[in-house]
Amino acid sequence: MSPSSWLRWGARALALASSLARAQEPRPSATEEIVVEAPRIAAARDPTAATTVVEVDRFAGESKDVAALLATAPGVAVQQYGGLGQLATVSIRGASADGVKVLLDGLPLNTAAGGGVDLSTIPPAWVERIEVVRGAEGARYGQGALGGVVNVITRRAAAGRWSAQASGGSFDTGSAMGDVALGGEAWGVLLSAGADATGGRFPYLHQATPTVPGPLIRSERTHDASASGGLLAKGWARAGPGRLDVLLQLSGGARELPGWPYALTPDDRQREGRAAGAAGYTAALSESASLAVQLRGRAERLDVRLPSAGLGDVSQRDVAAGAGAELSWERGPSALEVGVAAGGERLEATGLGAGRSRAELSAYAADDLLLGDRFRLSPAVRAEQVGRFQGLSGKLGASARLWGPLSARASAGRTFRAPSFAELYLEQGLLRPNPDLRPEEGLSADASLAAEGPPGLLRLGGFLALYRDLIVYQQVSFDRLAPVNGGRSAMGGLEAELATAPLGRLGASAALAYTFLASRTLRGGPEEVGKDVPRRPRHRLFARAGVAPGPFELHAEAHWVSRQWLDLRNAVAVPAALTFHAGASVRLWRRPEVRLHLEVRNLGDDRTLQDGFGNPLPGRMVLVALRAASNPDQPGGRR
Amino acid sequence: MRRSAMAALALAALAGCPQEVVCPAGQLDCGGACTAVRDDPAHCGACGHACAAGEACSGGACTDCAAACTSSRGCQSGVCVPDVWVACFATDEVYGRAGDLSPAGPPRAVDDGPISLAALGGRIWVSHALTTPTVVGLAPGDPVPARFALGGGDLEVVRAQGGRLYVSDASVSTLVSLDPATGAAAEIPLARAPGVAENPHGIAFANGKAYVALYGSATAPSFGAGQAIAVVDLAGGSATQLSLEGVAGAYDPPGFPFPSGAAAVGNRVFVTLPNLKALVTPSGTFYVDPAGNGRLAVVDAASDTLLPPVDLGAGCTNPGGITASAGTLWIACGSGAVVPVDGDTLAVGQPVAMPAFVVPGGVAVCGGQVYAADQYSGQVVRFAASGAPAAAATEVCPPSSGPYPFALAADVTCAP
Repeated sequence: MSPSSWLRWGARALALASSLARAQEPRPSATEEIVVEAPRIAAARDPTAATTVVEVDRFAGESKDVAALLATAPGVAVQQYGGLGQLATVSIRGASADGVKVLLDGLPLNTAAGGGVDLSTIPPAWVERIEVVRGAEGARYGQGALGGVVNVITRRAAAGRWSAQASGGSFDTGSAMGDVALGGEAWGVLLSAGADATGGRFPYLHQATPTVPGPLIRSERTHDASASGGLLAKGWARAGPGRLDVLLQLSGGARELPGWPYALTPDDRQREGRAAGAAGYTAALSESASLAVQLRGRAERLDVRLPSAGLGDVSQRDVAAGAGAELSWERGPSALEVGVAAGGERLEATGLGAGRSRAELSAYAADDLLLGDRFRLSPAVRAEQVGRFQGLSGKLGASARLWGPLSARASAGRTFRAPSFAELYLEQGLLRPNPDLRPEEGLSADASLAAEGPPGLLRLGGFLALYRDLIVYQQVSFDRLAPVNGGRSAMGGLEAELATAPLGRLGASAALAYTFLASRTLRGGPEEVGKDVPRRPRHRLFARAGVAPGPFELHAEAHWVSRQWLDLRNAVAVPAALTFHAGASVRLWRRPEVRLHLEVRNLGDDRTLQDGFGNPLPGRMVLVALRAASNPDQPGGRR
Repeated sequence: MRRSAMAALALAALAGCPQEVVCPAGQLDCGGACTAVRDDPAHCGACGHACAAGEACSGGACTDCAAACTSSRGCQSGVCVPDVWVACFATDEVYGRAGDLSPAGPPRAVDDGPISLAALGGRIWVSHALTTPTVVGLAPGDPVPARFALGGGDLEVVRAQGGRLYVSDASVSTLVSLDPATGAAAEIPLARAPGVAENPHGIAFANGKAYVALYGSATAPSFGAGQAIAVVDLAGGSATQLSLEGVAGAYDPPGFPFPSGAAAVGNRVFVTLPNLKALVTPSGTFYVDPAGNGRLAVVDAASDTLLPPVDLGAGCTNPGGITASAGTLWIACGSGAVVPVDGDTLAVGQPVAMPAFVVPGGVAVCGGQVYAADQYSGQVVRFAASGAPAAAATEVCPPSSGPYPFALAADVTCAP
């Protein structure tokens, strides 16, 4: 391996290891900020939180979308609804998709419409890293984070950095993306654009008689095409005594909705589009204090044709805007942040009656106290008003350096989720509204031990979570459902992660993320109480091993999801699924670095794979990608 | 071993969380089981208050079973043996009742959304429409139900024939044949092509074949899916279809026939046709509006041909449930009546009007009495098959718990 390759792999591993162990980092200071994030929200703001950072560079050239990247983190469960550009949502520590707050550069993607965030609408070309914060994190991130937070961070506007990639492969799948950053000492601009599409036609094996399994029938998935794209522009500039950050995100896509194998819906489809922007200004008030102000706005549209459900055309228009200010003050061992934010959101949707609007107001305070050389304490509290709902979120975290490479952290928190407009007001198809709903509540506690050093990082932690007043849809007549605050569940388990730096002449490396999740339904009928919560598999494992000798790189991955129940009584199960992926790349050119990537997903060509709803997933998929990028050791290159 | 230890640790941590059993109205949580203390001799009037041997529980008080039980089958071990059974969709229970619909023992808990009942081998068999695709068999005096899990979902109808159970697995468009004695099962695809949702409902038997009403999509109907009658060769396990498209008198365009219930008399099979058209509302399009009078498809089981449909008259729109007894078909009409039809002459009799607001669904004839289960409440209506006017409705199924309680008597059948 050449010195530059050693440097690159070492830098990647150290970046991963260090991001996984922020409890040991010095406190971030305003002067070292070179990353454009507007507003300035990042996982690093709470070093005592249970955080995993997924660095996208580690998977450069591979066809991983945001859902696939998230699936490499512990505590996370990605729910696919068919794969290949179709809906994908995320659950953290057993919370529903509605109970996970998803941010894109700090801008919330969850809308008042509810239903969680569709990860497939986030263009993968934009993403530099994903921060996964586990636990009831409302005190720092706002209501809605019952199970945790996913913060997707886009690429940096680091002058001189650029990349371009084109890929294509099975099932008429292809993508193209590129980004370039320009700038100087006092300014920086990044433009990133990408598009991807798939024909969505793939063979799968189908069981026509599921009660009495017979020979599997070879079928082909059709009416499953999708296409999406996005444009990202962001920039920063020194202005007066501070720094100005601006951000503009445009994305959109269209997809067919094929239905499940026993009831195909060839005429169902949807289109969506999203525009978001933010501007922030940060200025040092003194050597120890700074003030950040920010403005943000977002507009989304969703148009769905659902003739199969008798709904015809369904549309949704959502507009949100807000402003906030945050004062940061370091004094002695304390780094205090206090802030206020205000905003509003309006949703117009088929079945919602008149357009619905609500205002949001929040005030928060968070401290990061250094207690000697080894301990830190991070309390945080937030009060929020969301429409007519009020709530308090609190969090207390602590961390300690124990001995040598060993450290420990623990935290406990409480937060809530205000009911969505859909839950409160939507009257559509089988659904009825319930304007009398109360907020859901989430409580969590966790602790972990970590060992980190030049060889890598190993972390093992445990957690408990209690979700109360969960909004669940209940039968209110033979063919109508309405939401009620009827659910209560508890989760507990273990989270383990491992990441090594490249070792030996081969540059061998490994990564692992394992989640054990025990769930229990605490409220319900006598046949439901005490049972596992549906769609909460007990075990999830991601394992990856790779070597990088010379200009070559090889890797293999395994994903295992244990059996999961589909119903509250635990009578119907989805079997466990084990899939393997593998990939390789070769460097074709050194400066700039040009690599050719080959990736094979579902290596065993298991054509019986299904998501948790019975939709078939693709069999073996081969993708080839050509990627060129500025060199890591060049100014502005990856680091 | 390590996995078990981890699971034990996590589950032990969760064990400290308080649990709450939610019971239907009028029932108490007795040791984690919802208990109707008005009827349960083991918990009569209160949890743990057991009646003496030979005593029944009536209205929460222990009483002599023989004196309290009006069932024609009398008492067994202090429990009144029901004459009829009623599926209570909202509370996931099945209630036994005496012929006069007075209580006959405590309700039996079943799975999620009991929708259809059949009697076979001394047991009442229950199919479920919601999250648990199971068929559960209940025997009087045996607290342990038999249970078979199927592979699809929405098990709309269960019927018994020749010692086997037949189940319409609506979500995957198959007909499942099940031997409850051995658990052996067979499954016959009913879809004309993969991915076509035929939505099978009612089942009838004639001439060694099963006839299955293929309802089709309730929200976006077409003659490309459902709107037909499947003819299943029970010996060969193959199925063909009799399409109702263009069949004169089967429906009134732009409505669709929506084949629903099925019954047989001799060599003829009868399938109710609700004949519905679209009702467009702000929350969606629903095919619930009668396009005209209800119809009855007639299949000659000898030739498997469709005979001219029967017009059930203005007194019967949106027909669904159907049963045959002594050569007479009894058809439940969504317009609030039960209509008799002579299975031989096909003459439509005078509709028997239901009490106000009662919309009959499931229908059964037991001991000369006709029972109709109300789809809009937990009531069951009883009247004499000889033609007496309908009696007042009797509340059988209690409302569900929660902020939106509702009750629904989904089906009724005669005790085995």
